[in-house]
This record gives sequence, structure tokens and C-alpha cells, in this order.
Amino acid sequence: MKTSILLTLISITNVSFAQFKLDSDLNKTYSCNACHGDKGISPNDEWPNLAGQKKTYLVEQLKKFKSGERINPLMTPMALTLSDSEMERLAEYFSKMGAP
Amino acid sequence: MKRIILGSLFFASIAVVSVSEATPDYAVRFNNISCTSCHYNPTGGGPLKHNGKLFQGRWFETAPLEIQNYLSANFRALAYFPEKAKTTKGGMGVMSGSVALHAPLSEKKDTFLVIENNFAGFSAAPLRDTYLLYNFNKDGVYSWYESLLVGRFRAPFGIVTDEHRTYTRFQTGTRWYDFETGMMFSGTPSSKLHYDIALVNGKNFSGQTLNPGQSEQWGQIVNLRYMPSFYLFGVSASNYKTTQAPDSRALSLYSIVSLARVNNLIMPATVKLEYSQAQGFNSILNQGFASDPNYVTAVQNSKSQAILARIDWLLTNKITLTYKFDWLTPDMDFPADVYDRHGVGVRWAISANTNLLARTELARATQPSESVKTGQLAQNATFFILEAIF
Repeated sequence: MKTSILLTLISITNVSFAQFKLDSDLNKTYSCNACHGDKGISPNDEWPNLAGQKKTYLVEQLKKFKSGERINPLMTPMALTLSDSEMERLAEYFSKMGAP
Repeated sequence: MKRIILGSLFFASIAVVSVSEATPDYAVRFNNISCTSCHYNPTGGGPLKHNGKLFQGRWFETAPLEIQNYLSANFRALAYFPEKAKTTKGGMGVMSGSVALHAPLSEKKDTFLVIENNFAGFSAAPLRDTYLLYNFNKDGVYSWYESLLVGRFRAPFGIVTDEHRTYTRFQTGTRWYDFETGMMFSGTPSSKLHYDIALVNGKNFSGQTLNPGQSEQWGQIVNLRYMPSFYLFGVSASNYKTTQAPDSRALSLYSIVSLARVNNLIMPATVKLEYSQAQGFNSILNQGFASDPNYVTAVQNSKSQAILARIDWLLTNKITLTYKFDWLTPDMDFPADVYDRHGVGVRWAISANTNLLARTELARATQPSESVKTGQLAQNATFFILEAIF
């Protein structure tokens, strides 16, 4: 019984699960692929491709979204969930993907 | 060992069951508490904005959106196979065919006119989202004052869903085709908090149908959502003055947990829970839901309670599995009279903004008069819905 209660509590409390996020598939882990594609290629003309984009540029834009310097109704709330180190990891991940 | 197995089974029961990735799922999964990122209506639902249309059709190549920036449409066809198909309503039909016009009225694009009319289908309300919307800020800016909406709109109440047979929705008079008339003020002061306050005062004119329990005189609705992390808590309350029944009122407590936001690779799922109490809406049960009109008459002013539990599991980007549990007690003074329903199904995104939904549902009704099973609440059913929304 204690085990069940413990498992339930773990599931509903705000525990950081960052350690479970795999570097091998950051795109899906952070749901970037929902708009920017599984391979970093956007499905439409209005959203940017991220594959092959410069790391410094990506980090800078994510930080601008988070600070409110750049506003977008879809990206701003997403960026608010990212720490600086997560931004770095994501930017590096996309910068190393093959450009279209 | 037995405890571990029981604990594991508990989690497996949560994990394995699931359906569609509907609007509230997006809100929690993508940390976007503001529905106006995708919808005109700050409560969600109804015509989609440009971003909403791109997002909904993101796994496919979408048609050019020039016309769709001003025009939306909603089509649903149903094939419904109830347990008592020979003696009750079943078969195929068009659930809805609506067209919406939405256009900015000012160069700054802060004022919008939205008009949606349903031309075909079962739904009782031909006139749907029809309002003038003024945005105080640009989309994406958090502020205590976000928008003012005047006209006819979906009540900001409980978990927004487009499923007509969600017990917490029709028990509180907030089905996807129930609309209120009045004004609504909304705010999103931060990425964690959103509120709606509505004053309504509808009139049962031809073309502006009011359903049982809805406000014919002044009524109030308050809705508050708090999303500190991968989970959201919400509370809604309504109080309507009506000539159809004694004052109707409803309360909803709801929560949405996005396991996908915790780890999309291992748990691409969303869990939704809602508990609601209501009084004054039970006449809705006479609209084909309950078998015995005399029973509905007996409980029409009773205090009811209902529970919704739903799990949606994203199998692939285009296929979602769903488990849904509905539970309703029409009269809390007679808790033995219970309606409940377990549903398991799948939703398949066929092409951009086109989905096919299939589900089978097992129903249980303990009220003695439901043994005849002529109403929808008491019958097992299997149905398919083809929907196209742009």
C-alpha cells in the first residue's frame, strides 16, 4: 500500500524529471518537433527550420522569448519552461543536425 | 511484492488507457495557458486563428491560409450504433456543418468580429460563436486585462471539450453546442494564471436557442485556471437566473496533468479529471439521454454530481488512443441511481485538420426505469466520427 501511495505522490508532485530527458532525442523530449518537425524542418513556410541553425543565434532567440524582448504567442510560453543549460543543449542539438 | 504489483497495475491502468489530443492537452503540454494563442475565444473552442490552424494541421501540408484567415468551417459526420439500434436512434448523420466569418475591424487588429452559424446537423443551436472581441494587448503579452468579448459565446466553465456526451458538460449545461449571451472579461496575468468573468442574460429568441437551465435573466460565470507546471488546476462556478427552473447553479473542479511534458518519450499522455455539482440543468436529460421522462421530471430540480476521467495516449503523431470514464448521479439524495460509461477508442489524423474517431462504450444505469434502455445514457454504443475543421 505504501508503495502505491509513494508512486502516486511522485506522479502528482512537481519533481524535476530533467534527468530522464535523453540527449539522443531532445527534439521530441521538449516537443520542439510539434512545430519544427521531427528532423528540425518546419512543415510550413511561416515557421523556421531549426536543423543546421547557428547555436549562438538559437540560444539568443530563446533567451529573448523568455525575457519578453521578443514576443510570440506560441514560443514565449515554451521558452519560459527552459533553463539556460536546456537552451544550450537544444541549440547544440539542432545546430548539429543536417541543414535542408 | 503484492503491493508493488498493485502499484504497478494502478500506473498501467493510467498509462494504457487513452483518446484525442484536444485543446486543454495542448495548453498544459506546451505551457500555454492562454487559449487565444490558437482560438479567438479566450476560453478556447470555436473558430481557430492563423496560428491555431497551422498548429492543428502541422503534421501535413496545409492549404494556403489566405482565405482561412477570414473563414472557418466545421464539419462532423457520425455513424452511431447503439445497443438498441432497432428501437432507438442509430445510423449515420451529419452532426454539424458550420461556417464562421472572422475579421479584424481595425488596422491595429485589436478588434475582431466573429460570426459562426451551423447550417446542418443535429445541434440545437444554429447560431454559435457570434461576438465582438476587443483585445487590450497583443497575443503573447501577459496582462490582468486581456480581452473583452460581447455577444454569444461558450461558457468559460470546466474542461473544454467538443464531445457531446461528456456527463460533466451536459450536467452543467455547458455542452459544446450550449452558448450563453452576454459579455466576458478575461485576463492572463502570467504564464501560470488565467481567469474569465462572464455576465450573461440570454433571451430565448428564435435562432438563439437556450437549453434547460441556461440564463434568461442575469447570470454570472467565473473561471480560474492555475498551471504551475506540467499540471493545471481549475475551478469554475456559474449561477443563472431562469424562468425554466429555479435558479440554476454549477461548480466544477478540474485538473489536467501532461505526462508528455514530463517525458514525451516514455509517457506521451495527458490525464484529465473533473468533478462537478449542479442544480437546475437536469431537464437536459430529457433530450434523448434518459429513458424515462417521468424520472427526469422527478429529478429536474435535484442537485447532481458527475465525474470525468480521461486519458489520451499519443501513440504516434497522428494516432491517439483514449480511455474515457463518465459518471453521473442525477440526484445526490439518491446516490444509488447512477449512470456511468467506460469508453475506449482511437483518433486518427487522416490529413490536415481532418480526423477519424472510433470508440466503443460500455454503459451502466442503475435507475430501475433504465432497464428498457431507450435513452443514450443506458446503452452500450459504438460510433465513428469524421471531422474536418479549418
